Parts: sequence; C-alpha cells; structure tokens
Amino acid sequence: MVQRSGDVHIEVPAVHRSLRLLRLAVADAAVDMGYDVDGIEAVRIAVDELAAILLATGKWETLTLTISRDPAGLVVEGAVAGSGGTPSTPAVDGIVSELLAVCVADYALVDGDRPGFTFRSQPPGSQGSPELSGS
Amino acid sequence: MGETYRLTITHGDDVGSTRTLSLAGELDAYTAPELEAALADHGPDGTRPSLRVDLSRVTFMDSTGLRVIIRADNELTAAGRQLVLVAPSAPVSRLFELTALDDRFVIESGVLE
Repeated sequence: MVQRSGDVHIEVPAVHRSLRLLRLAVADAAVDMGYDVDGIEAVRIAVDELAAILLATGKWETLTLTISRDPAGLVVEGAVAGSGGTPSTPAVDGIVSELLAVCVADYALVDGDRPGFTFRSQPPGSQGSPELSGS
Repeated sequence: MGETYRLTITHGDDVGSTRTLSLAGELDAYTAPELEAALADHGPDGTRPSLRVDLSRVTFMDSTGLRVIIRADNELTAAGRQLVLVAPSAPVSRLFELTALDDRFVIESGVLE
C-alpha cells in the first residue's frame, strides 16, 4: 500500500480487548469520508472480523492498523508482530469471519504468511466495481 | 475502571417457565465469554427453562457473539425449550441478514418490559 501523509497508524496490544478501539478508529475515518450508517457499520464489522482472524493465528504482541483515505474510499491494512506462537484459546472461526468481511467490504484479503489483512470499502452510492477475494 | 460499559447482562424475572436476559453494549470476541458464562448459569443441561434475550440495546455484534447465540439456541432446542430473540437492534439485525440467520431464530419485535 502506498503510504500517504494523511494515513492513520494505530498500534494496539494484540488482544481481543483492542477490537473495540480498532472499530472506533475505522468508524471515525468513515464518518469523515461521509459514509452513511450502513457504511460505517460495514467497516466496523470488517475490521473486527479480520483483526479477530489475525489474533487467532498466534500469541502476538502488537496489532498495527493503517487507515488510508483515497478517492475511492477507505483502505485498511492490519498486521501483527511479536513473538507469535500458539494462541491460547482460538475464539473465532476464521472462515465465518472472512466471509462476513468479504460480504461487507468491497475487497477483503487475509494474508496468512505475514500475517495481515487488507480491506477496501467505498462509500455507499459511489461508483466502482466491487472485487471479492480471499485466501 | 470496570468493563461493564462494554457489555451489560441483566437477568429479568422468570415468567412461567421462561427466563429473560437483557443485553446492552458490544458483543464481540472480548465480551462473548461473559454471555457464554451467563448462559451457562442459566441452568444445567436438561433443566434450563426457555429463554428470551432482549437485544435492543446491543450496539455491535460480531461472529463470536453470533456463535454464542447459535450454541444457546441449539442447546435449548435439544432440551425441548425455546430461545426467543427480542427486538434485535439494527447492527444485530444486519448481522442476522448477512448470515441468512434471520429465518432461523424466533425473533419478536417488542422490547421486554
């Protein structure tokens, strides 16, 4: 992803308690971009589900979120870093979470190798052809 | 600082053979275990009464919360009881629609008194 000066970077502990903060951050960006209530709810679901997938991949130390705004909408990237290892209690079903994210975003991809995720969301009513993807 | 602002679970009075729970706040991977524990306190398998869960004040729900509700529904149904979801908020309704589960649950529109 191309870094822009207006990008927002957030680094939080890689724990489920942080999901709320991630939802607040993307919702705030969506409000700024004029998303309606449904659009805001969609990005909240997408970041929550995708971040939960990352948290289930290991016992990571930090989760970093990068929120970019371009003319087409929001682009959100997430990545975990730290020690990794086996998660204590996998709390999410990754397939269901990824399906939900794909349903509400215009594009959603989970990269199990980094591990990380990317999703893109256009404001409702904007022009463009949605893409669906996953791994 | 407490965490009750995230999810509040209020136990209502039993009405006949039906118990009520009212949820307020956010139901996600962090708070879903609280609901799971509350449902476990609802009674041991085989003795659980039917359950009405007021979802009108749930401001967010993800797949983790959905999974807890599905499990409760399965367990109650297997015991010959019923789970009734009452007045799901817009975010909850949307999740039900996305997952095509809105036809699976018994949903009532009125808010519990």
